Amino acid sequence: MNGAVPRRVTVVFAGLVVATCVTWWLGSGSSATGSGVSLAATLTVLIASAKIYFIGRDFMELRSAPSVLRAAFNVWVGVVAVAAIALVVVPTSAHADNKRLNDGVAQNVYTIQHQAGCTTNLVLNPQLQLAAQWHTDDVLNNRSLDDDLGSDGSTPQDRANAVGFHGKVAETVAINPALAISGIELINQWYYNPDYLAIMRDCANTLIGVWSADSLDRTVVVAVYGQPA
Amino acid sequence: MLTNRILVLCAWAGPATVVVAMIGWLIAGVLPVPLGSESSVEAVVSFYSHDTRVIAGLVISTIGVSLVFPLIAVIAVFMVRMEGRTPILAFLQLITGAATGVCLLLPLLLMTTIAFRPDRSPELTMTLNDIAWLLFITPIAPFIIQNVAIGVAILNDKRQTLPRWVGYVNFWIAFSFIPDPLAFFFHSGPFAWRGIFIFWLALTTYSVFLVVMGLTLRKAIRESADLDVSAVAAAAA
Amino acid sequence: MTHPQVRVDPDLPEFLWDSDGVEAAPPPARRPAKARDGHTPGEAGLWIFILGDMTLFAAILIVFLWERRSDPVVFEESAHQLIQPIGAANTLVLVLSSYLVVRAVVAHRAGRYPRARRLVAAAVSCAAVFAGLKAFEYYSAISSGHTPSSGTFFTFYFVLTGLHLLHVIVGTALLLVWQAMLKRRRSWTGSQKVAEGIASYWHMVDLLWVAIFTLVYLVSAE
Repeated sequence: MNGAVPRRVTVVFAGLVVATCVTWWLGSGSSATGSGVSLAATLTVLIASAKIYFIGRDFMELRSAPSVLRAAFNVWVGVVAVAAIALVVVPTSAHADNKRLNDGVAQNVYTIQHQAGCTTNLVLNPQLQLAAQWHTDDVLNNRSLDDDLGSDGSTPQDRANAVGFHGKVAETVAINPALAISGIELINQWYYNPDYLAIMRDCANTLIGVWSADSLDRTVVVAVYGQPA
Repeated sequence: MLTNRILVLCAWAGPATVVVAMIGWLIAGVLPVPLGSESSVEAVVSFYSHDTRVIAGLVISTIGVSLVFPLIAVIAVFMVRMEGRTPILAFLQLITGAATGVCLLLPLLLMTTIAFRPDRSPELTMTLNDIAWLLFITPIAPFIIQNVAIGVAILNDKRQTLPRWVGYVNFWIAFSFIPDPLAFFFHSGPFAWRGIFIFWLALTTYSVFLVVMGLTLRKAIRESADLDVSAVAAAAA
Repeated sequence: MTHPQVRVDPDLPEFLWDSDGVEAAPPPARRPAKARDGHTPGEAGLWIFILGDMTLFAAILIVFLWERRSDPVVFEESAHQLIQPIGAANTLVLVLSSYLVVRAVVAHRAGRYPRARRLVAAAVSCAAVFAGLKAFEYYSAISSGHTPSSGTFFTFYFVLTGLHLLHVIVGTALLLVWQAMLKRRRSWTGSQKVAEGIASYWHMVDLLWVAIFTLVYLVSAE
């Protein structure tokens, strides 16, 4: 043994340094959205898994270890990599959290209606929910919008008709320049707006669809109220 | 001979601790889902209202956890053999092991006391429950010192009285207790007293400790008994 | 247990009979030596610890990613509060230290003690740099108001990096033990298991940091 480090080891070291820089670059390329995020994240995890694999193989010298040990180590790397990718890439049900908010809004409107003396029911309507969702996404992504008008010039009635709902509709919109909005803040906003209060109290609105979405500094909640055609 | 039989019984006390304590906790309702720091007052009061079952189960569990004492003793005997004239680590294990037994016993007795009067004021019940659980989960130092002492003694033992991997397992077990004081800081989640990395991890690794030590000691006792027999036979020849 | 060659002392309890003078009897063959192809770095028992430790960290990381799913936006925001360059620098520092440790093992194996000592000393310096950067990072996080109770992300951040830092400290102590062995010029045959074991432990410290940096600093922020 002459004490010379096998070239392989030095190559692995260089590779680890490069891989670190690559993943750092990937990670700092922020503001990717949607599938871009998943791709970057998956790539990052895969590169990191490769790094760990090579640390085991060439630094820990597992390449010359009994196969059981090598296998155990590699299984660890594989399982962690797969689990990490799965947990990061599979879409989070952020909608689930918003569902709570959306359901809460419907519940509050029902309460306001009944406080105003309505004896009718209030039912969630999927078509109205879709119309609400369109407008929510529209307002979220187009900062110039702040009310009922869509970026294509559509009114709430236009959107409801497009969805297949032909009854009379009205809409209330909340935009919060923050990460989230609480149900209470939201209902207060609408309650103290005379036009919106009138809409919420209208006993003829027996159908409702609610949708909400948020980005880092903007939360949008849209409720579409409908009367059966 | 009698000493050997006693040693064997003490070794079996390790796995027996796990079995008896678990049975007791199952009866009391502490397992499968213990009360958590996030449990409501009603949940806590309702738990202790089943006083007969809770008391019976907890008493059984206190007997269970007391079975660690024989195991600690037999571990000490073997550590003395490993260390020779100055068995400092054996003594360390003995003292801290005794402390761990008390640390396990007292909180369970406290829980039993809570069930003694189910009609207590709810705030008192909550407070006593908090004390019992936090006392149960958080005192890591005696356990860690005990495990580290065992590990060091095994790895330093040239005669390999006990297999070396047992030493490493003891280090790993000691490490697994480190997050436990976090239970003081969190009222919910994986680092609260009922959290997966606190209660469940510690329960698992401590059970591993009891079973592994019990079984390897059992084996070592049997082997040394064989050696005794052959030594006596050789001397007699 | 009586070894025939132990000096029997009737005044002392049996367990204190002098066994120090006894030549270490070759350990009884506990199981037939299996002809295993391959050389286990360090010894088999150590790998139970290493893999067990890695599994513990993996479990915490997986739970971290699971918790992230209920609030990915907050996690992203929180992750951006971390100073990524420091995390990256720390990764490079540990990777370098691992490389130095590999070279130190090779040097020790070849009997080149001064070189091995220099390499181990350099690895220890890397550990010191890591610790310094980490201290700065903690200080900066806490003075910005982020503590372990500032939400789930920071809980996991502090627990993961804290546990890892403990490992770095233990690893550094082990490196110093190795350094002492090198100073005494202990031969490779006598120290192989210990040196390789310490080296493997250090590489584990390195790879755990790669995992933490990747998932906590990078992926969360993406």
